[in-house]
Amino acid sequence: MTSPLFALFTRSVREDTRAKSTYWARAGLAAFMVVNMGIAVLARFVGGAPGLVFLQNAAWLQAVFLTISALGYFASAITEEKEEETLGLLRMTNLSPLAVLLGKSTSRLCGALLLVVAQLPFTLLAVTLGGVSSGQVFAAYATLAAYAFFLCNLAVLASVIAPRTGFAALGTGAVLLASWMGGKFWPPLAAMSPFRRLDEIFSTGFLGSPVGWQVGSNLVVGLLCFLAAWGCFEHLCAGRTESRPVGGTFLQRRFRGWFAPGRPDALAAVAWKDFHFIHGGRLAQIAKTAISAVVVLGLIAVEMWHGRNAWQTVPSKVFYLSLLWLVAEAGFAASRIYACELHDRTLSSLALLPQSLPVTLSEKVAPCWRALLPGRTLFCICVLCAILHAFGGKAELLMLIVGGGIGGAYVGTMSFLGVYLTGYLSLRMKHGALPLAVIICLGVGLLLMVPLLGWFGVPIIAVVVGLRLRSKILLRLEDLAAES
Amino acid sequence: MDTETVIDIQNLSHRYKTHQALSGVTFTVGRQSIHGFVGPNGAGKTTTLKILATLLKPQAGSRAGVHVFGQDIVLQRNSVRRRMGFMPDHFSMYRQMSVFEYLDFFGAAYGLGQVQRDKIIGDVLTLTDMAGRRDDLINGLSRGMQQRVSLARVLVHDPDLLLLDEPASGLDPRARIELMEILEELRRLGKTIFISSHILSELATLCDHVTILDRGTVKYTGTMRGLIANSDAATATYQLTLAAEHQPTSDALAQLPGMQRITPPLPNEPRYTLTFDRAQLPLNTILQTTLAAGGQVVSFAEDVKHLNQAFMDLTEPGVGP
Repeated sequence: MTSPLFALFTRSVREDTRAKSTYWARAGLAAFMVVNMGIAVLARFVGGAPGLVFLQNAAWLQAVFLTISALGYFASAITEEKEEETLGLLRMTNLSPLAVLLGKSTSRLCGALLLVVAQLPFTLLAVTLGGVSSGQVFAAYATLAAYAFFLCNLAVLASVIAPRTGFAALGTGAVLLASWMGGKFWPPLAAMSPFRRLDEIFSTGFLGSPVGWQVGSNLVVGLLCFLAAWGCFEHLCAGRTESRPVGGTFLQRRFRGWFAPGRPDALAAVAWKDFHFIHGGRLAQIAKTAISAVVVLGLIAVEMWHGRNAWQTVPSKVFYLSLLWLVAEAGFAASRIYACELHDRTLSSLALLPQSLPVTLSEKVAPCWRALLPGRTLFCICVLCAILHAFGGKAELLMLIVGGGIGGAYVGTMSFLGVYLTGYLSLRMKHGALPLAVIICLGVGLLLMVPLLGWFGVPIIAVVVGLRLRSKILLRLEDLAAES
Repeated sequence: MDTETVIDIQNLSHRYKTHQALSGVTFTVGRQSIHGFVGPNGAGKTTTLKILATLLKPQAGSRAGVHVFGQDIVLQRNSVRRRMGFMPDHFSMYRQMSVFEYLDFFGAAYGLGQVQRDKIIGDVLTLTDMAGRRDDLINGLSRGMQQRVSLARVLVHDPDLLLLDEPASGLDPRARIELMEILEELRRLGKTIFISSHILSELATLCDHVTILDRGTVKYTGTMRGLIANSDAATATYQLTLAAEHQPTSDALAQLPGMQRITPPLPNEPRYTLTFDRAQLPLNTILQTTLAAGGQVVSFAEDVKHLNQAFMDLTEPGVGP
């Protein structure tokens, strides 16, 4: 092995081969293929095109899988070296910035593509099952390959810019979300979406080229992202020899004097520490309140601009927005509260406090609720508005209470499961705990489609598994504190 | 249990999945002593420290027991934790906090009130010479200063026992010497210090007791003096250095009662090694005889081994299975 580029590539491939998560991902995809075959067979009996159902499910799953990979696996390509303080060592070797970028990103792209391509023979079965042509199969895989290239390079650019994996994942996710939202206003952007392209491919009578605008644009934008990463690598990564502390926001550090955390209380010192140094403290509270106010006022302005009654329409929109915000923020907090202690190697200091670990755990969870205060307030105001609005008729109020109660029970129990699952996964995996937990929760949520068992079973399963995960978290924390 | 005993470990064994880390470890640590804990890499020092620090539970075994201040570390864990401070061998810090916030947090976490915290934090910052950096972010401090903050954190709840795992690793010579001075001061303040380190020369001057561990078993536990003395219970050996080789002095010393052996000096180094029967030891007579014979004394001291030598004698080469 004479080329330094290959040395880095080989190292990355070797690390991935040794990682258990690689095999779990493969096993998960294989299991899905088996389930998918079952669904295709069932589709035959209900008169659908089984081949199309099979291919459609497989392609959608792989698109989702690639999106999650971008948020965890791809986004950590360079930041993991920053966090482990090994980027300086790499820079001292013969490796040029281009070699580092290629070595770190190509292995990950190859790993993800191999997982996708390995399923090609199975999906060709779809042609045999009927209802789909081989052109559709190849068009779907071209779409996925181009999307993987785009995601990988976008995430690598974020990884070069961001100081830590969390920020790189956040940046990648924000750009993806913006591109999907922006598609509503600018059609070429919408045509870049692989999900829209897959819809086109799976429509009846698709005779288009396997390589469309989506493939070309994804490849070009991916290449531009890579070139941008290469261009700013030297500027952003040179001289970075040690990782930055986790927790607290940039603004919090910048305006430290204005938002001093005050003194901790002897009864809730851990909660004080987490609130101010992990969740962003008072500054983050103010920022979140300001953002929510801007969003609400913006929605009111848009509704009034369209001549609609904002009092009637805005609360329902804000209700769903605040619900989504609450769930996302809770998941984000859960993914950080233990991971920060692991990163700073402070678990042993916490475990040595003269109190039991369950008490420390409760103290760590309490500031999460405090951090969610702006989102919770907004949510409660929306609920209040909805109740006041529904007072016009008893039937409406009854519907609201019953519907809200059932919906609330589902969202509440799934969030309960999601928070503990994210926390547990963050103690087991270096990156990607939150996206994986979201996928698992969505998978569990799919059981809702099973009549009776799903309707009653899902909340019970969520609560039981959530409680079990809580005790697993305690055991894992004890082990990690002793290991550190 | 003796009230002077702070740590009492009896027959402690610990096994990781495929590796026996400790086998029947037994030793005690006395009050207000600085007890060195030495051993090659993989000897089981950190495992012992983690068990003492209550991070690892002692595995069940016959007659095994670990007591700190007479309290069982499993049954009375929280009480033991209040009286003990553990400094791990790595930096375990919230680097986004200032020095004061960091110490204030741990003081509060140990249940101290604000007034009490203010006083103790002031004291420990003075002791560790960090009072001038009180409001600095930990992230911006040098390694030596972070080590001082770590030590201050260990002291913030005023523990009686300090467990220090490689406290001087990675420090420059000045910082190491200053750390050792702080530890001496802490002993004067009544603390018991149990310190694991690889820097044997500093342990030799700092510690009054030492335990040597190798491959999970105790090879020596007792006083430092007993370990490094280059003699046994029956004999005593001294080094006498003269300004120049002097045969009459050598002859006179050979006639002393209890003299067993006198090693002649090397050509360019007029140093005599004198071995006596300990029972008939004529300590003052040695110097009197030398002066009376006309020898010019440069130095006179008990012959001791370097701790490095004692360590090499007691431990086996290579790494354990």
